This record gives sequence, C-alpha cells and structure tokens, in this order.
Amino acid sequence: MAYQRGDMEAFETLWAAFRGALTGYLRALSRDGAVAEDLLQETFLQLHKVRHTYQPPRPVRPWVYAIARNVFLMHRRAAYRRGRHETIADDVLPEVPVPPEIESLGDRETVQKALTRLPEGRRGALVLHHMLGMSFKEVGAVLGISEGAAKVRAHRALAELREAMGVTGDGS
Amino acid sequence: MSGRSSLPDGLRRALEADHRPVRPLRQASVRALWVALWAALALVGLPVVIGMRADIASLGFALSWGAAVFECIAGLGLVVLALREAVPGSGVTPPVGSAALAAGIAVQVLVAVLSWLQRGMPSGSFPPGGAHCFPMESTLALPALALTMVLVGLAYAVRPRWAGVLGGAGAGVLTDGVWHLICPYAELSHVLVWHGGAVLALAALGWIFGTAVEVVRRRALSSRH
Repeated sequence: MAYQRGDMEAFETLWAAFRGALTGYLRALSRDGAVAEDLLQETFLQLHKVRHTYQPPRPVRPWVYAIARNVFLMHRRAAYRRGRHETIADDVLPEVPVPPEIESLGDRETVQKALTRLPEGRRGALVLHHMLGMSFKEVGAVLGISEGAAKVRAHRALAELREAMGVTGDGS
Repeated sequence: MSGRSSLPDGLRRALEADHRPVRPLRQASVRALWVALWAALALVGLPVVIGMRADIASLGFALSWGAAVFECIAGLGLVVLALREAVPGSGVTPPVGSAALAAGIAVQVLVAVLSWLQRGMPSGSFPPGGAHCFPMESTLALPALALTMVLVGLAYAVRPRWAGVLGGAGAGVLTDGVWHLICPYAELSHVLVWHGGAVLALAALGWIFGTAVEVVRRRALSSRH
C-alpha cells in the first residue's frame, strides 16, 4: 500500500474515500454530530499511528472501521469515567444517518428516533450492513464476531426497528 | 477529491511530523516464530540446566518429549491467535477463542492424565504437595509472556484484554510443556492444581496487560479532547 511506503497523497485518498461514510458511522454510534467529528479526526490519527497493522491484500474497510469503533468505545469509556453519561432527549435528537432500506419504514424523524434507541452492538451491525453495504463477513470482522452472529445482530436490529415503528412483518 | 488542505490542522500536523515508510506487519504465524524460537531453546536448554525429571525413562519418548512438544505447539497456537487478535479487523471471534483456550487447557490435562496413568501413581492428596512448582513455572513463563505481549503491543489490539488472555494462556501452556520434562511430581492432583494454576495465573497476567493498554489509550484520548 502506497500510504505505508510514506506516500502522503495516499493518505489523502484514504481520507477522501472514508471521511463521509466514517462520519455517518461514528454519528450513528455516538448519536452526537460534534462528538462524531472529533472521533473522525481521532480515528484518522490512530489509523496513521498504526498504519503498519494493515496487512495487504486484506480488505481495507474492516481494518478502518474496526479502529473507528475502537476509538468510539474508548471515548465512551472515558466519558463514563468522567461521569458524562449519555442522555438523549427527544427534542435534541442528532441527525443520525438512516439506511435507505429502513427509511421507507416511516417518516425520517421517527426512524431516526427508533434507530438511536437501539443498543450500540445492534445499531452498529445494522448501519454497517444496511447503510454502508458491508457483507456480513466484513461486519463480523469489524465487530470481532462471526459472520453468523453479525447476521443475527443486523436482523434483530431491523426487527426491533420495525417493532418500534409498528410495522408488521410484510412491511405494511 | 479533497486535497491536503481539507485535512484538519491536528491531523495535518501529525502527518507532517511522521510520514516515514512503515513495513506492514507479517502474518501472525510468522511473528509467533520469535516465541517458537524461545520455546525451542527452553525445551532443549532448561531440562539440561535445571535437570530432567527422574522418572523420564518410565514415561517413554511419546509421553516425555512427545507430550512436551505437543503442549508447546498447543501453546504456540494460542499465541498465534493472540497475535491475530492484535490486528484490527482480523480478530478472533469469542467462540473460536474460547474453544482454543479450552483446547489448550485440555491438552495440558490430557498430558497430565496420560503421564499419571503410565506411571500408575496415586492421584495424590488435596491440597497437593510441590506448591513451589506454581511460582517456578510461572516465573519460567515470563520470557514467553513478555515476548508475546511485546508482539501484541507492536500491533493494535482493539480488544487488548482478549488478546492478553489468549497470549498469556498460550505462554502458560507452552511453558508447561517444558516444565513437564523437569517437574518430578507425577501425582495428578499436583499437575492439575499447581501447573494448571500457573496457566490460569499467566492468562490473568495477560488480562492485566490488556487492561493497562486500554487505560493508557483511554487516558491518551481523554487528554486530547
């Protein structure tokens, strides 16, 4: 990989390629736009520090998103230690990206509310698969679980989302 | 496409401060060769330096050297998993890791039971004698543990505790293979309690290492935000 050989243009390519999707992912995890921006920078900082851990020809996406998720988890633990617990009031819900397949379940605001209330593990699997189009194998690699477990998490999240929105099994 | 001007200042500064070329990490099995080298040296050297167990002849080749090498390979397998876990996006799933840990302990128990059956000794009292084996085996395992943790630390484990437990247990099982050639006790209770305890203690040390890594990372993150 050119970036590992010291080519900084390659870092910019990486930044350009992942910036938007990573921001969406981090926003979905953190449920806070400002925090997501901070975590995005921190993620790229970590990517740069540990760039030697990418092993070509493995796919880049699981490596990038696994680091991003780790940065989020570290941030959450640090916030917990400082006594800053996450509380989200209905009137200040952040703009969380909604996977296109899920958008049709109801109006955008209702879907966002339901999505932000899902547990982090399932929300992450749902976003990675339905929004970022990752295969379940890639989702498993990011979350450190098996392909089957990733599938179960994403499907359960979708079922919970449908239930929260009062949508029946056939989508009506 | 965004150029460098679109990069946030902090990120740009970090890039400009360090943009030397890096060599990608080798496969986990290749990195584990350092630990394998230590295991080979310990397997050959330590029984000579400390002294071979007195009943080695009655165990036969398969249950002495064969079992020792078998345990070392099982321990190395756990070390390889720990090193794989230390690469983001290629982690070991909990079921696979748990099964590997159970298999490593099962190998230790299997060697203990077969050696005990071969020697036809009583199963031993409780608490078993020879408690000094616990600190001795644990101390002997420290180089393998340190080497594994350095290799884990050179990568970037997103679940450092998990990597630490796998690596610690691996170093423990591997060292138990070497200690099998040295320990003069053949009672089953001795091996299960003191040798098994040493493996568990090393896994716990690995967990502590992982916790320390996590704390350092969390503090570094807190200091930047």
